[in-house]
Amino acid sequence: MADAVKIKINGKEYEAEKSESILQVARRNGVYIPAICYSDRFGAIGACRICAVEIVGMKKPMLSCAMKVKDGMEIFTDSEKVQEFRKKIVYEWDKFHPLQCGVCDKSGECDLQDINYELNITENPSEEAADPLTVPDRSIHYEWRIIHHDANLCIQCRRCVTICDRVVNFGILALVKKDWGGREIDTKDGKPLECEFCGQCVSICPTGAMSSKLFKYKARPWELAKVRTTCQFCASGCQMDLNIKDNAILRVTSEDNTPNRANLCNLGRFNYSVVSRKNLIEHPTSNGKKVSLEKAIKEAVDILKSCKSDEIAAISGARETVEEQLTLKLFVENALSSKNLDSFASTHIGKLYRVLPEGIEPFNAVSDMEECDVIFAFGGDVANEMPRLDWQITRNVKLLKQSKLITAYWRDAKIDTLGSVALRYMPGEEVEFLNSLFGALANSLGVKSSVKGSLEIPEDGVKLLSEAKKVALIVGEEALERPYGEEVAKALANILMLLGEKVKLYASSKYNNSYGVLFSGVADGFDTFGRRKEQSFSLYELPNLVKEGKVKSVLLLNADLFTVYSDEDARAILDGASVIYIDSYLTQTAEHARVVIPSAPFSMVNGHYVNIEGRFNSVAKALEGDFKPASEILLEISNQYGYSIPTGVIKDAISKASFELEGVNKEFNNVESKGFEFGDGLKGVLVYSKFRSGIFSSFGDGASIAMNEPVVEVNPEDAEENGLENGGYATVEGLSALKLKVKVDEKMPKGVISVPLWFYGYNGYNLSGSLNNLFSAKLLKGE
Amino acid sequence: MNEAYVTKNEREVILNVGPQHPATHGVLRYVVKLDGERIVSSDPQVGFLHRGIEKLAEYMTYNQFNPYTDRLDYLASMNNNLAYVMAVEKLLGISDKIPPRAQYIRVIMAELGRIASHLVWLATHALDIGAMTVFLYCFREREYIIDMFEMACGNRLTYNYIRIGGVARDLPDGFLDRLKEFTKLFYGKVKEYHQLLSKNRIWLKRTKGVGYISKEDAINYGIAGPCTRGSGVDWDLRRDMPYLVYPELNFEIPVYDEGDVYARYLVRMEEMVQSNRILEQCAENIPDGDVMVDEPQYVWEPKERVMTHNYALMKHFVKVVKGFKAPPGEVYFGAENPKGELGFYIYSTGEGKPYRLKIRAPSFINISAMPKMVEGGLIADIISVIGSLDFVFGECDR
Amino acid sequence: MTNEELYEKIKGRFKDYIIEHSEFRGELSITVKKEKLVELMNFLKNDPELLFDYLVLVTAVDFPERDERFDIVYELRSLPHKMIMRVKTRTKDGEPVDSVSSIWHSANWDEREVFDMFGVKFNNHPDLRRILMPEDWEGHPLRKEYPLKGKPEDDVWLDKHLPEGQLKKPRHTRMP
Repeated sequence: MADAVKIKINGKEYEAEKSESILQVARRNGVYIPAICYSDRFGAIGACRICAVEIVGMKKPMLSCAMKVKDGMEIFTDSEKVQEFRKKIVYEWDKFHPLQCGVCDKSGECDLQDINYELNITENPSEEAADPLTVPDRSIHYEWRIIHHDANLCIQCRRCVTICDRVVNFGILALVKKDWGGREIDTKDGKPLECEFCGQCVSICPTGAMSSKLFKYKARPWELAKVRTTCQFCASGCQMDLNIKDNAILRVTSEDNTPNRANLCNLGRFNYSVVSRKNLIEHPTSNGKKVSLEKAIKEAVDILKSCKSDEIAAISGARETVEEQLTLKLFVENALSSKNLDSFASTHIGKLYRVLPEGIEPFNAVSDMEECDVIFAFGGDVANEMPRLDWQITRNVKLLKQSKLITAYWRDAKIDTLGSVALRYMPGEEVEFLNSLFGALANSLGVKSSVKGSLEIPEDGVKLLSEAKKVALIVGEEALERPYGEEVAKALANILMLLGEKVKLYASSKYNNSYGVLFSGVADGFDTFGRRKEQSFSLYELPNLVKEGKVKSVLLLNADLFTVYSDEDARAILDGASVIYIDSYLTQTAEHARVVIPSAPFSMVNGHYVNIEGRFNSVAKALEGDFKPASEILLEISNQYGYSIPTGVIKDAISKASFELEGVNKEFNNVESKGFEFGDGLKGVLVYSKFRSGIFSSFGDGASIAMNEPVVEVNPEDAEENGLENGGYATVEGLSALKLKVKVDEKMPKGVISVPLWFYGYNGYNLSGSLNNLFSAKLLKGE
Repeated sequence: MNEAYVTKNEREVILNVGPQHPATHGVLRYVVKLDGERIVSSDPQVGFLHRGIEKLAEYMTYNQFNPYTDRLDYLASMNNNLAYVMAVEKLLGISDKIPPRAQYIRVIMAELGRIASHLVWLATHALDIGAMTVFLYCFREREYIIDMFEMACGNRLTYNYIRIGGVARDLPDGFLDRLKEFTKLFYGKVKEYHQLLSKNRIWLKRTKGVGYISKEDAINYGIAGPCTRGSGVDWDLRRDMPYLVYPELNFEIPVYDEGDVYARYLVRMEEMVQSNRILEQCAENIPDGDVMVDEPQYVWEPKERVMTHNYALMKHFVKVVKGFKAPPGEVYFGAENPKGELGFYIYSTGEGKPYRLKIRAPSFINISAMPKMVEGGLIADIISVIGSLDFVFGECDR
Repeated sequence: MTNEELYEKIKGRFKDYIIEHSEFRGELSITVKKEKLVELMNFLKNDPELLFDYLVLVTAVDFPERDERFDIVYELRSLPHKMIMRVKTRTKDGEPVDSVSSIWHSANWDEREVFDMFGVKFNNHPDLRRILMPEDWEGHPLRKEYPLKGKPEDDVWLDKHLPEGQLKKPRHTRMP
């Protein structure tokens, strides 16, 4: 340690670094200093003052969270003077605190209670002195949808303000002056809360002031059993605790020591009710009629036996556990001896990892992004696609102030509010843009290459990228899902190769186990352990194969067809082939499939998810239910088919838990400069919403309360031209038409509209066609 | 393999007594190897009532665990409460601060508990050996005590009355009058028991010289309480490692040297008289005052404070939900219970729950000495030895 | 004899083998290396100034994060001198400790209980069997990693031992 200093705490000597605060040194060494407003998630605020310590030579107690250590400092954390100082603060907090611990949800895990106990408060002079008639009339916000705010319980530590600003980067909360003369927490504009509804403020609130309406009056904290598991909504692999009582999830919490630093997004924190009974397939069906499980399995086996092996296709939804994927892989390849196996992961990350250049580390820990001095986010709105990456970028740029941000996208997005070098292109120009960037970069790095694009790339972006020591390259799912996604992937691979070892790759994915698909080899072009293999079958071909009669039976594992196909194609598959559908949620596919077998949903199954970091995160069974895991169902089907799946192989693979995926490309790719031909209308783009991850996610309360219908985002000028106004309705026409609510957003570029995906009943692919997210659009005013 | 299970010659027979047997006072399986009627060796098997109380304690706050101690020796719940609570108070360092009235109440309850427990012992012991009348006599007096307990705390078997820091509530009106009435009557009752048994020829034949254990063995086997005092060990925790207000009280420790069932019988009979003496003194001398220590860090605050002051309410929640934070350290406290020394060893890491809590159960130790006592005796002696050891399986198996 | 004198006396003979000692609430506890345990115990019992003739209890405390994860605790009492003290020793998982049942017979069952509950074995023990749990039980319940409500595998034991036709499920509200 270069900046090592020695300090004394309570008479004992400790080593510390100059950049550390007293509180950090004390905590690291197990010396307890109480602190309310300080959190490792965002650092010091200095609002609560309870962490004050006595420093020899200073008259007043100093705040240990903000005070950096100095050599030879002598500190007392528990002297009488400090105790008195702390007690006075608590007296003020207690002064008008309502006597409602009995009905407060926070009781039992409340920091204010704890500090009262710890300091052993047995009197309150400031309450005695106060006139009871002066109790301020503070507001209670019932209208904040998922979040309930009671300012009477607030001790004004500003944790919520800080986390909303420095971690979530939304910054809607503030201490606002009120009519009664004091200040309280409210939205900056005074309007009802309209935000990401991530509930970070609820999770960090030391008292019951901020609470979740979904959890309110449901249970006491000490009645809840906590089960650590992995989130099922995206590939971030956030670790969270399901709080269980009476065989139901009542809330979701996370701990500071998790890799995601206790941060969860709206879906993770509030959307737990997707696994409630009403959203699940209750019993097996065959041709729409209720049958027993044995019968359904037998029928499935009969269907499979009646087809030739190349007439069967199997698709995984990239949402099941790795165990289930491996079972599927073994079943399809060994029992059915079919090569027609693919997964939804092939729509995005599959394309990129197939052309990964040699020597590029395929997976990187999200926290390692802190080593990078430049973050380059390309091709998607990261905040919507993967909130965990958004928080990490915010931490790097806003909190630690150690990275510069470059964004390349067709619009200004949330992360641009951090202050970024904005590289912009129009939707459909991704390949052209990447080629141009490659050309500019190659030029600046002095690498000779023939690849060039026609777009002008701003000088400062190229300069930052070429001079960076470490670059975090974040690839948006949206860009890879373009119809020419393979070319985008190749162009990206070129840039990866150009940047070489100094690049850290992060490819976002909305599918929670899409990386597990690469591991289990269910995705086209991959074999077990992520080894490479010849491409044999792609889900892009499936609708045509069914229509041509080449595929007669389709086995779907958690693969709701409407997540990637248009209604027309999905119905064509469902009607044209005998579909065997194994899933947990009551999706549209479940309504139409020939044989439907319910499997145990998330929280009722043990297993593993692989996240963006290539880590195997365990998923724990938390609820009892009479559902069988999909792996057991597949084993049974396989047994009856006449093949017993070697489960030991699966166990071995899981216990190994490491990829053998390596980049192979050594040369720069030749990239066809493909684009998308829009008509003369508007450019329509399908984007991901922060509040959806798969169509099934709309079944949950958290997501549906936060956003219950899709909105089409329009530039103000376009809106005016078409006579639309904010909040009104419009009919969007692509290949077919959808009636959607309008949101006028000045951040939208002119001539571009965006429609979010995955809202139940609004299939965006009806506008663009299956597996495509661009369309030429027309806007018509709705009534 | 235990030697009790292997027969060496044709004369030997292995006999299983229990686990369900009217004379085993619970679920004790007793394997005896017999040569004719003589016991060659034996092996008591315990654990049928094992409930994992020590494991449960690791998941409970100190106050939450208090009712579980009621379920150890359920014939002397008050005494169990007392031993546990005193151990926790020792850990907290507030043993000296318990108000005198609470201390007196605790002694009253402990001695009443001792008499009640001894009455059940005498009743069942005599019943096992064939004396039916004693059983009815004893339960008559025990009922009087149970009524008093019910008066004080509302319960008749598991009391949970003695709490950390004092007792749950003050004695109700009229309690001391009933206590005085009882102490006056009880001397005569003990005389009645003596008349029924002490010179009864059958009783003497079944108990004298039976189940002998020497003084050295009694100490070496660690057996406790009345059983050791029947072997001439002059040791009583109330006198020799005093707690509460016992030093202020006048009582004697009965000791008999014979070491047989009859000696243990006499010890207990005499103990009841001595307990009655203690009760008499307590009823006279009990002072007025608080019954709960004023340590708001550790004990419940008065309800009116909790309902009107938010800091008291908040602290109440912490104490209930997370438990009070005991200082880190380890303590052992043993109290003289009717069955012997009941001790609690508590290892605290400074959390609201004990990291480890070990119960030193006198019944467990006493049963371990049984093979020594019955060796060479007749098979019928097992019954009188079991009676004289006075064990309860709630405590032995925990 | 005060606790300081007691400690000094023991230190005089076993200086190199004392790992640590502490006094809390008037109770002296000394942690010794397990090689010297029996020798120390013999000394404590037989020295005329000490005469710790009564073994109150033997138990163990489990610290799973420690290398020597078990503390074996012996609570001693001297009836003639009215003294108490605590002797502790440490052992790793799987390493036996010397039995003191030859010194105090009461250690016999206590050590059996420690073996049953923690899986600590004792050398020279006359009869080391499980005592509270069934003889064919698997696992040691008082170890910290043993779940409070039992393990799903315990059902196997119940299936084996409950009589035919007896209601076997639901047995209790065990969480997975």
